Amino acid sequence: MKKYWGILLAVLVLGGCIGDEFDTDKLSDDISVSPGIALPLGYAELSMREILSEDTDYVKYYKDKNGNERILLYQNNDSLSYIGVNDFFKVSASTMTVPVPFAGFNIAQSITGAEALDFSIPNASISNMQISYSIGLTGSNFVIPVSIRMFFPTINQESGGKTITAQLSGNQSEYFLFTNELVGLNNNQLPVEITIEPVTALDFYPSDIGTLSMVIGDVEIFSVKGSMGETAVSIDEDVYQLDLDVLEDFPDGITFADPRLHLISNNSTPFKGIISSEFKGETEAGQSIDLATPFIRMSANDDLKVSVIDTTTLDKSNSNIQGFMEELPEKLFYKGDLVLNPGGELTEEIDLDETDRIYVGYSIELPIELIVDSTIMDIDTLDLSENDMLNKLARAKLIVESENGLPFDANSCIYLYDSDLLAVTDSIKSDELLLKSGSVGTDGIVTESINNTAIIELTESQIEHLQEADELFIRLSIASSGFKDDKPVVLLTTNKISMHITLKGQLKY
Amino acid sequence: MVETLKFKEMKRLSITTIFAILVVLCYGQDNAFLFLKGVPQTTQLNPAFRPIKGNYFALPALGSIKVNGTNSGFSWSDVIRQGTGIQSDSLIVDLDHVAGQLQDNNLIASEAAIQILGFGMYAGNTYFTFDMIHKFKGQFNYPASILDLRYGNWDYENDKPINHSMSDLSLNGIDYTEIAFGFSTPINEDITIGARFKYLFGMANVKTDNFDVGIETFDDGSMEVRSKASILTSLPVEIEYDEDGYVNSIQYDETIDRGSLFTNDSRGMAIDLGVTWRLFDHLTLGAAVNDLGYINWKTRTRRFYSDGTFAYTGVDFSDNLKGEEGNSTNYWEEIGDSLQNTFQVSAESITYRTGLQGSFNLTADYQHRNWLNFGAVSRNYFIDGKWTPEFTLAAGISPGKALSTVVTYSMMKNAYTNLGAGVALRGGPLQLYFVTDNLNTLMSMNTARYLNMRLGVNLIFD
Repeated sequence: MKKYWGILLAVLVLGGCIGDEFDTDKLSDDISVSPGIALPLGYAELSMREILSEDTDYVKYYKDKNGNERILLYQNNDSLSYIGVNDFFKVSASTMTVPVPFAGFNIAQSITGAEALDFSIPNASISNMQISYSIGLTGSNFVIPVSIRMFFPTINQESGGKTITAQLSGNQSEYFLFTNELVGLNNNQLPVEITIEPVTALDFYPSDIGTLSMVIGDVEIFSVKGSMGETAVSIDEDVYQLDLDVLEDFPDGITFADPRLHLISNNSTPFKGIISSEFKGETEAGQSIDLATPFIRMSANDDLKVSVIDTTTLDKSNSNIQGFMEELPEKLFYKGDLVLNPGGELTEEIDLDETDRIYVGYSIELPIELIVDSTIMDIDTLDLSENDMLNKLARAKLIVESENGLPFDANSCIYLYDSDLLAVTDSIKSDELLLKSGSVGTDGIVTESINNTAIIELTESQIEHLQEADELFIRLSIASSGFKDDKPVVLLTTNKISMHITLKGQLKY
Repeated sequence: MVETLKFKEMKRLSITTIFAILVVLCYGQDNAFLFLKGVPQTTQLNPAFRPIKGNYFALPALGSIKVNGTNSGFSWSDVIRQGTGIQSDSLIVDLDHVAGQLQDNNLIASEAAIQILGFGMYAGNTYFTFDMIHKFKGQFNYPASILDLRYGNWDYENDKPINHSMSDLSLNGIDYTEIAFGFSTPINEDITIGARFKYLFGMANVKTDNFDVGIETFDDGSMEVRSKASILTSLPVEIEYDEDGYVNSIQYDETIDRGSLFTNDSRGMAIDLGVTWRLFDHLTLGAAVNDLGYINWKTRTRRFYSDGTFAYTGVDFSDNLKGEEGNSTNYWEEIGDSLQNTFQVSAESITYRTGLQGSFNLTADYQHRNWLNFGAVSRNYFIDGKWTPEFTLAAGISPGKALSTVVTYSMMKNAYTNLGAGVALRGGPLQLYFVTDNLNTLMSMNTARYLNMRLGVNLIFD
């Protein structure tokens, strides 16, 4: 019964609902509202200490004379390559051949002889060396098998010399490897005593004559005692990345006030030297730039020091380093030639081992004192394809509020890209600066932060293109204070910047 | 990703919602009923009333069915209006017009009651009544500022922020069954007093304990959303919690034994008090206070609460400037997670007490002729400390026991013209009656803000 009352009630109530006022088919889909929005898009608050952290491997801080903490970009490759004892004393393989007249065994039981192996060591003379090496023995036309014994009285002389034996027949060979043995030379010659005997006694030995060849090669020197005249050594070309990440976003427009490139030699030998270096830079675009470099005069380590370091500094007064760094090369190619002991100045016999090396390298120092007028390309790209709110935008403005303690002005340009048209359809740029440089003193250091509010009001056309755009590219231009007058600015670790970006607009539904 | 309902999909939902507001949620009133002579249930409005001279028995579940509804803020025609210009052949949702109709504080309220059992009888000069009535009362208070949300958070024209506060929002609802014993007895020739004592069985309740939600936008566009809310409930629901102990979902408990809704431990007491005073031969004044009481809610009770503040200042792109990898890909996801974490809802068991949304009324009844009377009533509700008054003028014609009628004119909150009418018919002991304070609502549903009906069937032996 309750149900019937409920139905009656509903009929009574809904009976009044008949009419156009309740015809939902006539109800418009649109509700006319125009909400205003303020949407904080983003913010940043940070200091140069955070932007260029000393934790990264190319940033160093240092104090200037006034106690300001300045920033230095650097790259240190002080051991690009080295030259060692095997480069100074180039011991070539030595070969010796000995005839073996087999008929001699009809007269004596063995054939003996004393010989000497000549070593070719350009511009140098060695009396003793500790080396690893190989000996190869090869018989040629050995018509009977023979036993060969070779005695080297100056190898391991303190142990009574070194003997090797082998049996060869026909054209057989034997090969021996020795390591870390002390070899004495006389006028770069190695004496050897050779004894050859038939393996089997015969009643009659043939008249054939065989040949015994001996080669000493694969010489690797661990230490040497000798003397050396003027010697030229090549430093092979290598390529190095100029890993200063912070500069990667700047295609150009940066002039460092005082860039420096140090050419470094680290010599632990008693020889003087002259290094002729060749530096070449290559930009990301493949453009090649030469850096003119002077000769590096290398001092001798003649005072039993661990090593002697010589540094030749290239700066704007003696090189084209400033122009070279303006191009912001991303690769450095380096090669060189070393003239060691020029003029054979050192004639005395010296002792060297494998730890006595000559290292060559460079380091780059870029104090952040610079002039900037640069555009950072496409610092960000935003995909707009799924942003419904933009389609309802009727009016809009971007507000950038900043407190800038950096010595840079900045502006940006936003490009709207329509993938259907494959074209940039519009750009949005502020008539005024987005960021105004902090006040800068005569020394290029910021003395006071500057507050600024930049408002970019979008035109109807820009809003229309924004709604049609699929992507948005942002490019940022940065100029240091006083760049037109070529006045450099200095960045301190204490310089700070804060900025807030807000979108304010009105939507139309 | 937030899913948004397209307006097309929402259209029918909106209509359903507005009907629900106008039809289902009803509240207060019954003013015309006060002057409908000869109907025993008028004692529910003033226990001192003695509407019949004999005994009566209400037909079970049919003795009194009452549906009252109020939306003081707007009517259907305030929302759905004829378009203009290129939309002149369409209906449009006109939020600006709705906003113009709202008062600072607005009310959607309802009261529904069904008399399950009821009878009354005289013992000497005292009239005794017994009632078992199931009642539902609910109200939703909302401020006019809720529609300011359509302006967004920034006044673009005047370049200043628009802040929003929902602190005046509240939702309260109570569902209970009362067993009432009442009496009415004259203390002298002119004054009659009455009272009804009620024992209450609480079945379900929702009470807004605290609600402070706001969005503040600062000059630089940054925003702060705050939410401090606490809602008490006694509902047959199942709650799922996430791994952190926060509420994940709330669902109706399908396994609930419906009988337990009546036999649970949520009990209460209430009283109605009334008096009539015959000031002159033809003028009788009346006063009544109804539903003074409480229910202690102890069964399936919970307090849902959330307390958080979320500040939005945009994307921190400091890392990008430092040359470190930004996290923009997941930024909006992180914002969503952060919002969700900030406004997590917790739940805890609690026992609490609520009132019954009581009312009082003052009546004046002038019996000009035996068959003609005039009346006035002031009814007043106190809801969360807010006074909601109504005033009604009535004229009734009662030529005999067989017919009693009344017409009324009422002024109600934000609706100053309400015509009401009522009729009670007798055939032997059988009485049927129907009465409404809002006849114009039935005639013009689209402009209605109030709806009120009471009808029933009695057996009267006098």
